[in-house]
Order: sequence, then structure tokens, then C-alpha cells
Amino acid sequence: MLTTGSKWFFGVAGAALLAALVYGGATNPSEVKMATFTGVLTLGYKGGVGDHIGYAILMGIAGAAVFLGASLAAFRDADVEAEAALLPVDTVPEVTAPPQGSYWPVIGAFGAGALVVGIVTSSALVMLGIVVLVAVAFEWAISAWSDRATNDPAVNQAVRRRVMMPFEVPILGALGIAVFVLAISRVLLTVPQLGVYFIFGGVALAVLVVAFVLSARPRLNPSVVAALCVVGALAVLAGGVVSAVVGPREIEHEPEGEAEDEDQQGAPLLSPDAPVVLTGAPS
Amino acid sequence: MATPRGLAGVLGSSDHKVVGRLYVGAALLLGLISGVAGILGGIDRIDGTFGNTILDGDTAPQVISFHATSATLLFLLPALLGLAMVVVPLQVGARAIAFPRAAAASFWTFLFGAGLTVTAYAIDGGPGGGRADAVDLWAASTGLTIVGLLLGSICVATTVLAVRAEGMSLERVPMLAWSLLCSTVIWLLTLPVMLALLIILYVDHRNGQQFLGGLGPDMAEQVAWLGRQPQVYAAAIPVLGVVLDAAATAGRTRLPNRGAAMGAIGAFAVLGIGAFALTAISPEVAQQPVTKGMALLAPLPVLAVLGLVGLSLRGGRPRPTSGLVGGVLATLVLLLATLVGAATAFEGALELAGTQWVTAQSHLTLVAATIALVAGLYHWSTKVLGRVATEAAGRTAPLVLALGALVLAVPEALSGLLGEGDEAVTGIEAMNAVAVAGAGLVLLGGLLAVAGLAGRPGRDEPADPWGGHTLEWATASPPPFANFDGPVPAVTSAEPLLAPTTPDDEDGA
Repeated sequence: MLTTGSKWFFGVAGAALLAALVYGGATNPSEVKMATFTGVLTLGYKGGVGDHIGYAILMGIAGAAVFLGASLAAFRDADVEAEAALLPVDTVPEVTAPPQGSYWPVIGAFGAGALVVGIVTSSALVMLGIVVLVAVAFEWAISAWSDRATNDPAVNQAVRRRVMMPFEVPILGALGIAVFVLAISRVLLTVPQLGVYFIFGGVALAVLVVAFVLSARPRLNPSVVAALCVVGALAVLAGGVVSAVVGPREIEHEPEGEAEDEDQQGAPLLSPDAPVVLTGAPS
Repeated sequence: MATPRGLAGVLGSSDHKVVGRLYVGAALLLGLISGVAGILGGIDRIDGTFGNTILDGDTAPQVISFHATSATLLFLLPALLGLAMVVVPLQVGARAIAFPRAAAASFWTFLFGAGLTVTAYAIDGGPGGGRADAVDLWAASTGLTIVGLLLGSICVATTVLAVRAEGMSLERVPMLAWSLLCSTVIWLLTLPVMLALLIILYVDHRNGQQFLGGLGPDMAEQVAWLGRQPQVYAAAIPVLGVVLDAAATAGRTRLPNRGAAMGAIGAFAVLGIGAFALTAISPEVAQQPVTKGMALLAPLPVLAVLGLVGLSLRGGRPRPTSGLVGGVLATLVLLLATLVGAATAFEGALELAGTQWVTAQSHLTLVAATIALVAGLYHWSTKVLGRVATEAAGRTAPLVLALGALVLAVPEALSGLLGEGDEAVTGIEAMNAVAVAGAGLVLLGGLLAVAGLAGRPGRDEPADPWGGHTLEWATASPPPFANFDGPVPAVTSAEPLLAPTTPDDEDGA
């Protein structure tokens, strides 16, 4: 028996098919003959059709509707009762959202954004975007697997952590350090020399203070931690990007000639062949 | 296990209600930017030319292009998707949206894409912009925005198709859920065409507009089909779902002839498949009989829905709720839009192609969808926002929006009838000025609606302020994480919260 959804789509398909046949034949400029009918029935293979665009649109709608109708008929409109009978169980499990937060969707979107900006600006960003997207895909797959490991979300999260922590901690740590060092190094190369001392000391102090607070208050509100991470990451990244765009400051190098002159004005170097005269030695 | 709250709860949440609220908030903000851009463009073209009044010659086309694409892609579709993400799972009795993490990813992808799109316009990008890498960024970021919307559409459509509660057969789903199923299916069918077009434009522009010669200079025209008939109807399908649900609830009655209502919504959705109308494929497609036929047929489903709304209200005891007032006004404006669109079929007699008549039709359709969005947000405000919105604002804002639509579109239509295109001319300055005033009214109505959504603060919001029939009213406001505290109410009819009155009611329809 056909389901409600499939009836609707099959109806649309039938109407569109009929319209396509009539339209394709009626717009054919040649006189009506057998090729007119075979043309519209064979998608123009045996005979011709009139207006190709309209005919293709109507045939496309018919094809899509047939596919959707057949899918809905095969899956019985995805009714819970039909699914339960197929499984066979009394009731099918309900779909639930994972209660614990996951930042991977945001990170994935960031990777996609980096990819988009990268294809316009630089290949390095493209690579970053691809790496992030691959990592997110892997993490997402593991999360999807662990979500269904047991019926207990807490156990599922523990399972995921046990599997992924040995990879996540070193990789993300190394990645974070690399990005941090790269961005800060750009900043230090850009700001005036006096500013370098302040930034170098200030950043180190900020890291120390934040780390101290986090370790002293392990039950700190996750929102505060998230805000700290987001603000810190954005500040470091923005600083690094802006510095990279501005470029390093001009560093005055002493001309080689002057250095040589200074060397000449100072104490003469001893040549390896120079005679050694001992002074103050007992005679 | 405790669910994260605050910023951590927002950034990491895959709860469909949180994601939906984010969508609505971001879309409203982007809609405001789009509206301001539209008004600036309107002021600039009061004298019939672009780039002479308040915008320079390079900026004016960018502003207009931004308004034309962002009104649909950055405002209406994401806002409707947000409303869908909050309400649809509740309506079909699901504990969560299908693919909850993908729903979260869809929002963040949309947000990154939208932010980059706005940035691209701001740095002289956009179709035909003066800075080459910014134009490339526009094409790529708009594509990213569409990817986000497509991902969200998959989640909503799958929820209606496959995550319904026991007893909730497809013919029993509420009208909003059905209309959003139809909408998202149409978006899934047509938005990939826009995505493919953007890839073509990107490749062509990147290669000096020689690889696929001819596309470059007309970039804005290539993407304009998204806001034109018949594709623009794809953004207005939820109008019919909102008005039918609001009318049945306000009338405290069962919706008469649900099959016809579902058929009308489905038929309107089929008429909104307009991806074939992009001029990159065929510049003369607007003259094709298929396009004209779709334009002529579009008013019929809207009329059918209006008739069903009338029947529903006549048989019950209607109250003029914000949802009903907004829904009816949205449908009336949509009917006017489809009638204006139908006139384009008589091309030989009226010669409306390429004139402001087409712009008037787009504006009417998009404002109709905006009014329906406002009506929906007010009707389901306790579920979307967790508070009762201000009813007075909810009834006034649609009126202001509808008035604005008329004041905006009538002068444009008259300009079209007089044969004036965008580039014209003398004698229409007054009408252009009136149209700008209409755009201002639309923006004012939008701001009033947003102000009213703030509502009154309260701790104990009613689960069901309207005496609704459908499952979303069976849960608390705001709904808990798993949507329903206890078991989902049994579904034995299309109005599960109404006691069955006759044996036929048990059968659903």
C-alpha cells in the first residue's frame, strides 16, 4: 500500500510527466507524426521534442518526484510503527541530542572559513583549512561512534575521552604552541623595540596568571574558561595576522666596514704566527 | 550529566532550540543591515540614476547587489530556518532535531560565510566590484553561506520525514512543519544550482573572465534570479504554514480539509522551483511558456489557503492574535505578489520584463515572507524566546510592514507599467521617493517587531498561551533540553491536544 507521502510525490510525478509529454509535443514545430510521440517518450532519442528547456524542466520534476515517492514508499514515510515492525522491536529508540557540548562544529566552520579565505589569499590558509576539516571529520566520527556506545551519556563521554585523549592532548598542545609561538613572534618582530620587552613580559605574565587561576579553581565556570580561550586565541591570532600584514620593523644593522674599523681601533688581534713574548715571567 | 550553560553552552551546543535562536538572532541583525542598504540604494536612485546622490558610481551597484542577495540569503532563509529549527522538532514530537551536531555546524558555517560575504562587500567586492580578490572572496564566501543553509535544510527536512513521534504520520504533521518540509526540499533542489553558479563565476573571474567568457561583467544579473519569480516563491512557502497553524489555533477549531491545505502548500512549493530561470543558462528563459505558466498558476494555491483560513475562522471562535493578524496579512501580500507576478506572463501586451514591475513583485514576496516570519516568531515566542512577546507590537508590526510593502511596491509597479527601467529617467522621481518611504516603513515595521519580541520579563511563562492543538504546546516554555519532560503525548489525530469529538478524528485527518 502506498503511503501518504509517496502518493503525493507520485501524483506530482504523473502530472509533470504528462505536462512534459504534451508540452514537448505541442511545441514541436514539425507536423504531427509518429516521431512526435516517440520523441517525447524517448527523451528525444527517437524523434524530436519542441522546447528543450521546458521539456527538461518538467521531466526533471517528474524524475525527482518519482525518486522521492519511491523512497517514501520504501521507508513507509519513516513512521515509527513501521520502523518498529521492521526492526522488530516494540518501540524504536528516540533521537536525542548529545547533552555534553562539542566545539567541533564551530571548529569545522572555522576550518571551512579558513579554506574560503585561503583560496582567495594564500595556499597556507588553504592547507590550514583542509587540516582542520580533516581533523574535525575524524573527531566527529569518533564522537558519533561513542554517542552510541552505551545508553549512558557519561559513560559514552568517558569512552570517547579514553580513546581520543592520547591523541588530542599532544597534537592539540603542539598545534596550540606552534600557532602561539608563530603569532607572538610576528608581533615581536613588528612592534618597537621597547614594546617587545613589555609584550614579552606581559604575555608571559598573562599566561602564568591564567594558568594559576585555572589550576587553583578546577571547577571554574566552563563559560569563563571558554571566554578566556576565545578571547585569548582571537587576541593572539589577530595580533599575529595584523603583524604579518604590517611586516617587521626596520632593524638597523651596523655596516660591516664600521665594525671592521672598530675592530682595528681596539686591541690588535694576535696572529697565529706572531711571536709570543712572556712578560713578568721568572727569568 | 549537566548541560553546559552560558557561552560554553552556546558555542558547543547542539540543542536545536539554541541553534535556532542563534540563526534567528544573526538573521535579524543581517536583515537590518540589508534593509539599511536597500534604503541607501533607494535614496540614491530617486533621480533615476545610480551613483549620483549619496553613493558614488562604484559603490551604488555594490549596495544594491548586497541588498538584493542578502535579503534572501542572509536574512529570510536563515531566519525561517531558525524558526524551523526551534519549532519543527517540537511540532512533530521529536526529542531533538535530526543530526543535531550538523545543525550546529550549519549555523556556524552560515555565520562564517555571512561575515565573510559582508566583509567582501565592504572591501569593494561583490558582483562587479573593483577589487579582484574581494570579488573572489564574495563568490567563495557566498558559497560557504549556501553550504551552511543547505546543511540546516537537510536537518529540518529529515526531522519531519524521519524523527516523528509515534502516531504522528506524515498527514498529521502540523501545517508549519509541512510547509517547512516543502520549503527545505525546494531549497535543497535549487540552492545547489546557485552554489554551482558561484563556482563557475569564481573560476571565470579568477581566470580573467576568459575561461567561460561573458559571465564576468554580468555577475550581478547572474545571481539575481534568486530574488525573482519563480525562485523567490521558495522563500515564501512558510507563509502558508504560519497562517494555517495560526488560524486553526486562534479559531480554536480543527483545520478543515487538511489534505487540500497540504496539497496547496505543496503545489506552491512546486511553483517555487525557479533555479532554471538563471540567465546564465538561457537569457530568454523568462519568455518560456513554462515560466509563464508557473507565474499564472502561483496565485491559485495562495487563494486556496486563504479560503481554508476563512473556513477555519468561520467555524470557530477566532481571536485576533498576533499570529493570526500577521499570518493573514502575509498571505494577502503574498497573493498580491503572485498576481503582480502573473501579469508578467502577458509579456506581449504589457512589456514588463526588465522593468521595476519585476522589482515590485520581488519586494512584495519578500515582505510577505518577512511578515510571516514576524507572525511566526510572535506565535511561537514562548518556545523560541522563552517569553511572551508583546501582543500589541505583534499586531501592529505586520500592519506597518504590509503598508510599507504597498507604499514600496505600488510606485515601482507603476514605474514598470510606464516602461521605466532601472536606468530611467525623468518624471518618476516622486514615485521613487515614495518607494523609499515605503522601504523606510518596512524597516520601521521590522524594528517594531524586534522591539516587541523582547516582551515582558517573567519567570513562569505559560506552556500554551493560545490553547493550541499541536504537540509544541504540550511542553514547557522554554522547552527543556529533551523537549518534553515526560513521555511525548500520544498522537491519535492531527490535533493531539484536542480531545477527539468524533470517531473520524481518531483517524487523523
